[in-house]
Amino acid sequence: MSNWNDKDFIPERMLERLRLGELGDEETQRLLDELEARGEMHRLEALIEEDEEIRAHYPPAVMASHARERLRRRKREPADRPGKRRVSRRVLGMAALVMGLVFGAMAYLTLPPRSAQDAEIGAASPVDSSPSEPDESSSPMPDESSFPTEEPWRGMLEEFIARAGEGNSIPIYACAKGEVGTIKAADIRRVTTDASQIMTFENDEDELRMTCIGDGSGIANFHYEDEPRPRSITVRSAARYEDEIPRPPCSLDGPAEARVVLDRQGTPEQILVAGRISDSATQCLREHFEEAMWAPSGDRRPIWRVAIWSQSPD
Amino acid sequence: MPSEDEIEALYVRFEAMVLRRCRYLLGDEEEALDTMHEVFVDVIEKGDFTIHSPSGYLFVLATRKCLNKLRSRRRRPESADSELVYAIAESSGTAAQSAARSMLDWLFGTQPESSGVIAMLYYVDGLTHAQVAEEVGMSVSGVRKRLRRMRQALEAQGFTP
Repeated sequence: MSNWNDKDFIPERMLERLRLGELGDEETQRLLDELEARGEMHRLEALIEEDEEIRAHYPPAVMASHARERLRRRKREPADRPGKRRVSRRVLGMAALVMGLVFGAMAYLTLPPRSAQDAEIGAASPVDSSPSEPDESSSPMPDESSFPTEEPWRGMLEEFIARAGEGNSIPIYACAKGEVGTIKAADIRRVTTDASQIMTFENDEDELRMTCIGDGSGIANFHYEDEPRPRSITVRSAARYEDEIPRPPCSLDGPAEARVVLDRQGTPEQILVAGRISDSATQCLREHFEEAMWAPSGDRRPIWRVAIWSQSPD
Repeated sequence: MPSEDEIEALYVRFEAMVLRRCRYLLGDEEEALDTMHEVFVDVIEKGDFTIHSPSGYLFVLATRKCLNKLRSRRRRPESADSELVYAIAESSGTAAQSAARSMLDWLFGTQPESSGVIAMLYYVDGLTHAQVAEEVGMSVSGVRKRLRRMRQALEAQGFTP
């Protein structure tokens, strides 16, 4: 990309603008001709390819959710607060130090000298040199590096959350990247041995909505406890997926089970249907869920993953 | 605050561009990702989706944030390109920036784009004066003036643009 002012070079930035369709027709054509003439169309192709890779690796829906989370945190902690707190702590620390020195000096000057016996007793006094007990109230957050961070959007709530009832509190972890997940199991050292990644969607100021999967349960509302640690989510209400997605009108033709994976992008390619069902039922499900993803109001439904149901023979 | 759809649409359209920019300047995936989010959150917080050229705005904002991060880094990058970027970051953070602020800017309270960003677009990205001016919303002569000062700052660091 670097080229010390070689203006004969087509800057990457111009390719970005071309890719985004920000150039006028004339300029677009001129640039395309230029690329063609120079045999540099591959640069544009590479850009397009990279765009797709980035979107696949960092899905915009997930990224947008992270951004909203960051924004909420930022609002909760105004930028000027930490600075003020640091200053005041520093001042308090200095004051405490000065006071300590003053009182220490006063005590030294005013107290009678200790006897030799006192001094001996003092020397023999037991000193608690054992390590302090671990603070049970301290964060049980395990080493974040132990969590899977690859492809967070692939992580599922799995049946673990679906089984949680109202009022249950579930410990969660939060990584620096903004991903969160549930702690399913931890060993005696409080190192997480099993965790599951989840994705959250903002419902309102305090509510986060998470999808989950399980025997019929589809959506649940959670209250996200940020402070104090340990962080946890409390299940406020568990809802069946029918509350959010109308039950599909598709006939599954006898004993069957369908597994539908929805992605928030809502494109047909991202609605995967799997199971022992006929082609016509598959098509019906795709069409149904595609519509379900895009509500008539224009709002996206807070559904992004899986629904499972089965149909028994009558 | 923009709706969820608007935020997602912003990412759909500009995520790759911003991340690519941050990757290039920072050379660290995690830091780049973090900076990308900062850029978007700034825009979302501002809530102004009526910016004339959103991509230019995001691109310049990403550049500025990356330069700030580079300036606070202790280790120097290894490649020649990165050294120039680093030199620009350093120069834009000190006297060069404050010297470039005119009295009019001060009087009217406008925030002129940092000389570092302008230098990045010109020297590293290879944009012309006119293209830089368009990106940062300044006049071409204003860009030239900034670059003259930046050139001096860079030369003082051993670079001869």
